[in-house]
Amino acid sequence: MSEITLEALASMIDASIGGTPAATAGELQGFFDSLGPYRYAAIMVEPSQVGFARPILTRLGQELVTVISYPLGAMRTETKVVQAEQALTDGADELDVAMDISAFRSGDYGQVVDDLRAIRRITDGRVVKAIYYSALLNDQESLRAAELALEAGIDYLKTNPGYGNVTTPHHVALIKQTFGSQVKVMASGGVRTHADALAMIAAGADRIATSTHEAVLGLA
Amino acid sequence: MITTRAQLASYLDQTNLTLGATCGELETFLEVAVDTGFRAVCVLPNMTSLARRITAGTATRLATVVSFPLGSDVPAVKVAETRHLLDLGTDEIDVVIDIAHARMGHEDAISAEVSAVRSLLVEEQLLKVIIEMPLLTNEQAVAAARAAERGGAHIVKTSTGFKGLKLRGTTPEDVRLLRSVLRPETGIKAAGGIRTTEQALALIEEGATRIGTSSGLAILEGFLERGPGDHALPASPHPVAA
Repeated sequence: MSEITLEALASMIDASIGGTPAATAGELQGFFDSLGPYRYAAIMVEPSQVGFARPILTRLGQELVTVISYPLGAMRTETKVVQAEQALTDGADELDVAMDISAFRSGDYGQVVDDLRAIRRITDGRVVKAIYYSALLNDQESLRAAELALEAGIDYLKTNPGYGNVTTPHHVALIKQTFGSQVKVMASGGVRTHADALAMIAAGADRIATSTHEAVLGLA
Repeated sequence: MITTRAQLASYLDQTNLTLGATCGELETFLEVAVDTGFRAVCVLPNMTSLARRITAGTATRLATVVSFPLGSDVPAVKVAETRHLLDLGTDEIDVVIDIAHARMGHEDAISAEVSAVRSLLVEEQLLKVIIEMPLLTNEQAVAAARAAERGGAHIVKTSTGFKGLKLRGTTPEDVRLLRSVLRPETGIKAAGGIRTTEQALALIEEGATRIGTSSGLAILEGFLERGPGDHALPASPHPVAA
């Protein structure tokens, strides 16, 4: 039994299209049409789709989030800044920026922070989430990654980019129990069903990212 | 006709695009690759400085990827990323097209974005354009390949090989299709799921002038074991374009 209304659940969801990658304009429009009456936390599109999506999502009253250095987190900082600036120019409200996960795993924490700070610096007042790849990290590493994001001025974490990187409720609980209200967490990657979503929320997730919003919300 | 390991190695872009690989892992990968004599190494953008340092002064070319793996950037961002990477001394750029354009038949948009990136390259720098055939029909792939060629691609590359999308591997039929529609001087790079000597040789037989693989060592090792003279192959066209 659900303890949360569908409206409340939708308001915690960053919804993305899923299905075939490289969506056509028609497929994107079909996705926007499937959102139903709900107000989501945000609708996620890829950077090249922001210009197309912006007027439609404005009309629908939805926030628009796009993804930076995604999904591999392997862009150079200077490129991430250009990509982020372009996204903002095209009309993105929020950015999900992937951490330089190689730099992190190599122990180059200075680079990790500088890289995220470069994005934070150009996104004043906007929601920016840092993707830290919890699926690749142990608990200690996840906590360190969260610390680095905070150091860079980002207090919203996104666990994984999807594409096979799966988030567990434990990943979420670890961060929330350690940092409390200092940090927000969006559970992303492998959150496909209504039950998955409830489990993440029970673990303390502030938001859910899903490419199967219809399943999560029990829509047609 | 490939009769030696060295000749086969000259077709191979030894690749490490592993999510979250450390600098230590890449250093080892690169040092072995340079010693082995591959045509090129292919690494992610955040590893290009490191790779440039290790490949400098060697015969191994440095390739990296732009807008990888999704290609879902506007041309201005692909141009910026390309500029950043060329400034570091990269020799070869493997750029992913906006695959949605290919799925919608927007060939002029593909030519335009390829041309914008191509305009940054000089002299011996090579542009490979990834059309992501596993996501396209044959008709879409042919149109995209031709559009990439019109835009100035030196080499058309079949696929990103990105594991996160669970794409099918590149097949000899893919290469045959491209070879049948592209100009003879346009190279073809086969990439995605290429693990064995047999696969590599079959793709080269159909006209692949470059193979992208993370299994370059195994592919070379397999060739030595079977001995030379088993495969008669066409001469590789124009060394620079290949």
